[in-house]
Amino acid sequence: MLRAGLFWKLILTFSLVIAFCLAFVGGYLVLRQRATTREQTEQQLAHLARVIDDRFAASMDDGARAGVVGRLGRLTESRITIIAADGTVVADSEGDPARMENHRFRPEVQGALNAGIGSSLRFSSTVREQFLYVAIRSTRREGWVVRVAMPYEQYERTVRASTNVLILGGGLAGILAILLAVFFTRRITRPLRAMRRNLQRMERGEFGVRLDPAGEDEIGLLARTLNRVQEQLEGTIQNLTNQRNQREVILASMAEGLLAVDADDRVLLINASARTLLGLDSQRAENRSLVETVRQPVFVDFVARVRQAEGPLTSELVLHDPHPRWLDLHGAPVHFAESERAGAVVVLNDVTRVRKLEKSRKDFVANVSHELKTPVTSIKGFLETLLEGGALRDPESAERFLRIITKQTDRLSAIIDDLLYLSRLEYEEQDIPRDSVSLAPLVENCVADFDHLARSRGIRLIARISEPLRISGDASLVTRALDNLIDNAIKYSTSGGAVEVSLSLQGAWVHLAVRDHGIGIPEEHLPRISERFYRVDTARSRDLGGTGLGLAIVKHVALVHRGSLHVESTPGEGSRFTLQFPELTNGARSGA
Amino acid sequence: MGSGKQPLLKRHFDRELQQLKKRILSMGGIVEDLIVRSIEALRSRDRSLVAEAMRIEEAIDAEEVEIEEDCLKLIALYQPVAGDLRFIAAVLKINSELERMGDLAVHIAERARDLSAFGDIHVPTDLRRMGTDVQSMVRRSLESLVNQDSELALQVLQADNTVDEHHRRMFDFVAEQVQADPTQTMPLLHLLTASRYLERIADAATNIAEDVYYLAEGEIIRHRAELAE
Repeated sequence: MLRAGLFWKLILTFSLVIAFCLAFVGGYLVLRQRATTREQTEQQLAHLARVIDDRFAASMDDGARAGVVGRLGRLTESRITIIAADGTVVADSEGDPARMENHRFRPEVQGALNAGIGSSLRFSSTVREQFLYVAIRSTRREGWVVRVAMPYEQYERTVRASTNVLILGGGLAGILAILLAVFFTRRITRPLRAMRRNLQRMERGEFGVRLDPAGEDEIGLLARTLNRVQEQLEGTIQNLTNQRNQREVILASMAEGLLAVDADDRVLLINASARTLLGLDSQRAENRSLVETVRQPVFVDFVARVRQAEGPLTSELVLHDPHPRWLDLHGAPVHFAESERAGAVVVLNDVTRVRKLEKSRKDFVANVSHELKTPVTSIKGFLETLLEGGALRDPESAERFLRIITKQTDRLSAIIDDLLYLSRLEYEEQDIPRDSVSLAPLVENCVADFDHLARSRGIRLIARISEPLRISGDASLVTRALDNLIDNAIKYSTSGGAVEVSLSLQGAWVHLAVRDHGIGIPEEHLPRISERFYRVDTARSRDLGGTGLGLAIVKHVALVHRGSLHVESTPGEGSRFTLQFPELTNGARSGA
Repeated sequence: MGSGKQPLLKRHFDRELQQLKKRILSMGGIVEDLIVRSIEALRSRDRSLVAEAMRIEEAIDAEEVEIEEDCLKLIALYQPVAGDLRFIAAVLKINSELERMGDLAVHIAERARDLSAFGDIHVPTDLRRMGTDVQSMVRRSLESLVNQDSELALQVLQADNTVDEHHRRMFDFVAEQVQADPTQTMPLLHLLTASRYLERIADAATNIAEDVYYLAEGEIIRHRAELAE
């Protein structure tokens, strides 16, 4: 493309200029030489004619004249003709004058008669050759004309020969000039082509190939400048890429979700957290419209409001699918340069934990009041009956009522004990003793303590201890937790069933599990089972004497030991509560 | 895109089509959300959703009318052909399916309210699973519309069988329980009705998936025709 362009344009221009110069100079020289040759020949012929006129033309008689003219013609290798005033040929060195036609109107004769001298170059019909004729008016005899003619062919040949030399030389010079032009044009176009290739590579984003900055001329300078530009560009692009990568990494590792849309509601950016929080799969989201990505109407509506808003907005979004979660939305309108309408940036925060905590705190206050109120109401009712209903006079009823009051008071006291225990656990979380607790004897003691109760209900209580394991912590807390679990397991087991307590090591974790074959817990209650006062079956739990705090205490004991509580259950088949503690390896006591 | 080379009318039309797509998707989002919430209400026997659900349903009805008018206007004004016409036709059908889904979601919310009056009735696992399956079908049918993904649409068609199976089992369960304990007939009938509504939502999602399949596969056939020319 470029080859056909600049290269050929330059070559064509050079060639035209050279051809034009050669043609002009050559043509001028040829014409000039031809004119000079003719002038000189004419002059020679005119001299000859004057001599002939002076010496012979007028003075001699016809016979002598003819002889002299013939001889002179042969000597000078020219044709001499003498013409009388009436145009008849008087003498001629080549032909017989008598047989010759009238010469009066030949152009050279006319010229001689009018201006004293005339010439003509033409084809002689007499001798069948190209002749140059020169005629002069005779000075000796009025009206007579002396004409001398020469065959002009030889002069023409001379001229043609020199023309040939000229053409040959000119041609050679022309070819040489064109070759030089090709050479120099190449020197211009080759680096230009290299620059173009480099720029094309840069266009595709390929860097690294430098131009050869040969020469100190403009092209070499241009190549060097281009190399520098390329280096700078490379550096700039590298910087931008690094910055972009950094930003992407930062955005991707943010815990907050981030989403940006432009003025046309197209998603410009959505980070990994936002995808997770909004429950989107990993399909392409950038450059799609918002409703194609997040259909959630509350969210779409919020983004629309943010785009219209003057300043930042906040809102909350509750999602149910696949599991309930609360998202805090902070949005601000963004004005992108190319549009007068605003886009939006939204930051999403998962506040599910906060909301759940708030809810459980509210629930706790409500529950604790309710739980305390029930026995108090009952006690108050029976006391009033005793005092005012006259039951005091009936010892039997009085004793029954007092027993109920005692039972309710015990219950009240149990709840308050558990609450105090829990709050102490919460306060002393960091300060519990970190003794090395050997779990095998602990489990054996607990099982022995419940043996009597289990037997009385017809339940087999089995301990499976695979190895003696140790944890770091407080033995009394762990005992309390295990007591609660075994107590629950016995309460909810049917007669003839079995409760298994097992101690095992799984990885770095000590598993202390209590398995029953009782009624089990429906799936929907599992996540909340260890919340304070949370009861699957309220009436039944109270009947069995539970405070509603047992599992909450177990869970807290697990937490203060840096462990956890896991529950698996199948309704109708039984449940399995597993306490997991980090194992205390030999000699290594974990610091508090 | 070279949008500068397209005639002005075509560009207008494309913009209107995009607008229509956004509209049907945002309606889909509202319906999907309502379905999710009504199923959630059914699970937790929450009586509070009904009033809000009815208000949302009214908005959905109004939106359905407007989308239908938009479709008819586009057909009358631009006289679209081939893929564009097919798209508008699919939107028309999906539009009415979505409206019906909205109605059914309100009905489910009503069943949730009625059930809440009966205290602790155990919601069988089948109905929970069914709810999850129906949610997933609705989500995938709309997702297949977004991406014009015929594979995903086929998945929705297959999932419908599972939901039908759930519904059959619910029927058997209710029949059995009613015989065992006739006092529980009312709440059990509510449960069965809710199951029926869920099954019908799944059918509507299936219809949407079929429309999407037709739309997407029609595209491919059209492209093949262009290649053959």
